[in-house]
Amino acid sequence: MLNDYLPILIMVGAVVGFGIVNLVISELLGAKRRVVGKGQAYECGLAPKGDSRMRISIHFYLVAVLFILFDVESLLLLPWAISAKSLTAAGVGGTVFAEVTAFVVVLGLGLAYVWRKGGLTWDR
Amino acid sequence: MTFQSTQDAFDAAFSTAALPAVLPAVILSVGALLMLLIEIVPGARASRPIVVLATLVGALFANFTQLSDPAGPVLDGIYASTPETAIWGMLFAAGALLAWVYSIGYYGEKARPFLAEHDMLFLSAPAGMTLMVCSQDLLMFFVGLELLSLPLYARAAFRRERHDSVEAGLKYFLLGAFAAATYLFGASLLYLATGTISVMELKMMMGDTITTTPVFLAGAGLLVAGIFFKISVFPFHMWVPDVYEGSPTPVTTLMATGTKAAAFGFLIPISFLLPTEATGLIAAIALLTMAAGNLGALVQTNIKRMLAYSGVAHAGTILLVIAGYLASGRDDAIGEQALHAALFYLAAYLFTSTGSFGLLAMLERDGEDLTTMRGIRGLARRRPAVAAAMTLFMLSLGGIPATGGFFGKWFVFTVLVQEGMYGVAILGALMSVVALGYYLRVIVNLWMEPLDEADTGRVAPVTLPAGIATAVCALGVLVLGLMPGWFLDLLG
Amino acid sequence: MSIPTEHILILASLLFSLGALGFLLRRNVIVVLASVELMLNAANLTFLAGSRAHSTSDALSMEGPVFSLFVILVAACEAAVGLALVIAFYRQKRTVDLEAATELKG
Repeated sequence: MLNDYLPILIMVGAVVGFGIVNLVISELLGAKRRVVGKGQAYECGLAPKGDSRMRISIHFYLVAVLFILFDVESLLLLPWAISAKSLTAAGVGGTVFAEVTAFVVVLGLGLAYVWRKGGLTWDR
Repeated sequence: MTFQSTQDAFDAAFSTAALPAVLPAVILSVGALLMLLIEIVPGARASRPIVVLATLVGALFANFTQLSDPAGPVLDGIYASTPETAIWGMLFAAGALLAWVYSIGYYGEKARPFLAEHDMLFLSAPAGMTLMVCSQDLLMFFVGLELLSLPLYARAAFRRERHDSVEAGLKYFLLGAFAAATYLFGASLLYLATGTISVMELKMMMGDTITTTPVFLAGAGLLVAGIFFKISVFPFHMWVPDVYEGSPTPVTTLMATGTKAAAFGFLIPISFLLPTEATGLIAAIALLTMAAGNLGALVQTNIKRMLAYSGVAHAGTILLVIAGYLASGRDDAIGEQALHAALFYLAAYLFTSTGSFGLLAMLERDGEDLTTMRGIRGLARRRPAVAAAMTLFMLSLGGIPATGGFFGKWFVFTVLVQEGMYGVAILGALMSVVALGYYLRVIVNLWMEPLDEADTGRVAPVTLPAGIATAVCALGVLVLGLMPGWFLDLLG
Repeated sequence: MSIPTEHILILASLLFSLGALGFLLRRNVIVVLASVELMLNAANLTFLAGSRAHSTSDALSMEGPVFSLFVILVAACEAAVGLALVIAFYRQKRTVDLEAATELKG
């Protein structure tokens, strides 16, 4: 039974081994030069600017939460998407489609509310 | 459940016969959505109170039609409408209506622009409660629970400029999230053990060897523990007084009455999941809850906090019926009797508690120091009607005869005595006598001479809506207390 | 040859216990929220394990996956409301430590 897990063990071993081997090789073969730039945080090649613990606008939170909510709510369309073909084959596709539409309209109402309330505008 | 074809599955799930059964929940949900629409359509704001009233009255009426002609199980057996659920539904709609009337004029300037949002969240609560009691399925209950809870978290923190309100919201949220997670893990274990989440199918399985496996028992235990959080049972009662005290009073009203009622409305029908060996455990938890609630209430000076502790004690009393049901060897007739006892108890508690919290909400407007034991001194002289109503509610909470509270306790203890649990019944009755201590303290303070004559000027006039709501609550308490048979006849 | 249900159950129970411990012992609200998510995912895992255990070659047991979908959905809604409350709390207290929740006592 434990044999079932052997592939996972091999995978873990390969991943850890790859990391260790790379570190050891670069430690043994790599040139060692110490300059100021190497100690700095790497930001896509640009010179780092300001404190990393800076304050971030609360607006990012709002946008993120709105995204998550609408994103996850569309999850409920998934069961319908999977069964749509067999529902149509059974001749009830139209009714179910109407119900799904009602669900989407409710989501749309939520979106309209957020829009109208200025949740989507960046500058206020 | 397996079907011959997709067509069969569809017919089972969507028949028009289901419409009257789900209508109350649909009305409430549509009402809640209309609140959002009102907020975004220019010039529609003025119609807000009318829509709220129409929604709640509509839900009340839709439930009423189900009373004489219940649709039974619908939607492939995940939802059921019975005379009991119709009465629960009517209670939720009535309770929400009363709490909403008390909230008129309660919120200060800062909250005024958000009243449509407030009502949107407000109407979700009775919708969730209705789903909870009608659900015949662990998933449906969960959806109802969250539909009730999520808006309540937000509404507990509705006065967001106040530290106590935000803290109450956060604590209620953490408690509720933990409860939901516990419930879900329990439900998932039950599903793993049995392969079904339908209450009816689970009930048919009882007695099988499957229901004595550790996975099933752990699942049932966690599921019930999750609901115990919601009804603030010992030892999960610690934050409840904090939450009740910090939330806006109209919100507390709904938390104390509706949430508890809806959770019991589902808990009692599914308590068959618990093994009969758990009788002693449940009785002990119930008595400890009563003790914790009563002892906590005895030392309070803030009346809102005192009522919160008293609510914990009442939850303990109702929990006793489950011990009685288990002691009967899970007899269906006793189960129905237990459900009816809890239904009556909670109906009386709903009117009593809504009335007393509502009066507190009204008194808060005069100044919050007036809702303490000291603050209400001599209220009878300044506002005799308010003091008289408060006295009636306190007597009912204490279980004095001729009030609804008396028969609630009577029916609960009848179940216990029938099952020969005399010790538990006596301990419970003693606990209720202790409770009388703090209810009487309120009454004594109400009718005592005022501490300070200068205080008497600080009274806002009783508004007409609040007056009507209080009268309805008092009438409910008296009708249930003087004509309990009438209520029982509704159940057939 | 596949992973037995018992192993999944053990993993889920461990996840749930870790989440419950985190919830009860940690004072940082964000960590407490993360702990709740852990508990919810333990439930999801068990639902899927249950679905696998009860499905036969011609009939799938769909309750489990559908329940999981709803759990994920509600978890997102819960996080949205919860984080909003945490922000309101932070604005007043300048900390997310639960020890600072001291307004209501007694």
